[in-house]
Amino acid sequence: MSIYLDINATTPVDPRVFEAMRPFLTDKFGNASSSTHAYGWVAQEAVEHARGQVAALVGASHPSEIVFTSGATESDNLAILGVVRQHGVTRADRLLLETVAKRYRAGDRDLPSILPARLSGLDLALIAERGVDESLMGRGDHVVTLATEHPAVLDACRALESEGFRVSYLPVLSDGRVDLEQLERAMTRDTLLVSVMFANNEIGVVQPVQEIGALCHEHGALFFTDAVQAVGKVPVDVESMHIDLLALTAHKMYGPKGVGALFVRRKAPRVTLQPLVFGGGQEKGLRSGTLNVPGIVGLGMACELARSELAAEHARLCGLRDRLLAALRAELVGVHMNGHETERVPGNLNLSFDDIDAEALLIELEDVAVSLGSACHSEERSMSHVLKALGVSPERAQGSMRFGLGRFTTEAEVDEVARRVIDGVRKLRELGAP
Amino acid sequence: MTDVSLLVLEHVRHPRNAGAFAPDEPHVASGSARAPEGIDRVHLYLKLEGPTVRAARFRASGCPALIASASLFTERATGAARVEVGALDAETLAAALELPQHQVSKAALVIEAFVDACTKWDAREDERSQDPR
Repeated sequence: MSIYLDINATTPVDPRVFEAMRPFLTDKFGNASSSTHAYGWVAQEAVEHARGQVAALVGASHPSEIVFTSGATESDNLAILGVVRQHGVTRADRLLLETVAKRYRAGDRDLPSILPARLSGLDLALIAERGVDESLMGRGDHVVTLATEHPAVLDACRALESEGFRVSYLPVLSDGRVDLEQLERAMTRDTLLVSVMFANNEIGVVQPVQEIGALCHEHGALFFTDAVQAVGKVPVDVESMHIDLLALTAHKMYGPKGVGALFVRRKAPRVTLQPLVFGGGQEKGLRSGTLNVPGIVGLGMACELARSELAAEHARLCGLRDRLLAALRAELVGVHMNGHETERVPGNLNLSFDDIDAEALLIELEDVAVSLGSACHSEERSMSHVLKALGVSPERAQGSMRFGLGRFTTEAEVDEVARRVIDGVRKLRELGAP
Repeated sequence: MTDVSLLVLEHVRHPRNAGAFAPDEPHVASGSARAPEGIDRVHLYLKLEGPTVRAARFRASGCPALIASASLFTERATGAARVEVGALDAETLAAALELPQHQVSKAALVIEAFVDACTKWDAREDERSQDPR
């Protein structure tokens, strides 16, 4: 029997989502930007309906705060690069502007051409009059994030570093949670953005998002959260949690692949971004490109289902997860949970088994789909950057396995997986017993 | 599933010659090796009869490549002359299991355990032969 327990990687499409999408893959194929005929109007109406469904799930005050993208990686990049490129000024920029201001004061008006495009909108007359520091107050060059973030966030931050911005990659506590005092110390008057994921994709740990959001606003920084693993699984409310930007994707909540969204706060504060994709000006210019109408409809339906079923599904998944853990711990010694024991999304269980190589255990499990925390991809064993940040030893990481339970996981499947894991661990331990 | 060959899968699911000999079993050479990091370690036990490896056993903790290498090694060693077994190198073992290049080090651990067993055995035999009693 094949069992899928890799729900944190991707989910199957819920049949109800598929049914909602079907007409937009067949009869209702219009381009949502076509304003001259009914095909376009129908598509546009469906997109706007979906926008409302997404907004409702995350507690956005208005559907216009939702920007559709191709998925979480794009949303992450748009949030991080978009905010920093829009509002940030590097130290090199400041030096350049000092020179430009000097020349401006000397009467040279042919200056915008020597500025990079990112700075071309600045008011040189104002800068020349008031000086760089005063006129660019609040335009920092610093981003704060965590070492345990998804590569889509970490790599976007590294791209910013290559552009001259500064990024602080904070360590986490051994349970995977952020150290709030350390986070506060890391924020300076130059901090533009703090990026902390809502729930970690590997270990499922949920961050104290509300406290982080409050701290950010206290220090004048914007707060972005990659909430891909949290939306639809735990309550998310951008208003009470002080979230300014939030990324989500459909395929982690029983929607289709290739579609996601970014919540961009429009009020208190109004967040403005520099787009990554230019062209037809869709999504208020923030994301050009013909809208993926069937995907967006699917995302909307996935959000609506997640919202209406959240409480019941949360309780059911917690029960299944606890059942699996209890079964394993009842029969096996040396089973360790990676990450916080309770502050986690319901369907995630990241466990390490002492004296076990998880790749070997995976073979023993036969048709069970799970993920591993370490793999033999090269001469050096590659270890998850998340487990490394938690201080997990290479030995423990080698025996780490992520079980992801979801909407379609049954009690019988959990019991079967527990049996296979117990048998597999026992066999492998016996094989290596001194 | 990680990329492993069918033969590796077969050896992990059905390891050949797993375990050790009884503690009082005579003429057993044993040796071990372990990776510098992680849990990968292997113990080899060789029942010697003159120049021949009459039987071989192993214990291994670690990745599929290591378990399969140890299992295949004992299969090849059983009944073979020690000198023939000594000629078996990590590349040959890895090739037989279709291990990728970066996993040849797993087969090398098994070879290292074999060399360790032989070195210890020969040293013990030397001591015995020099002992007038």
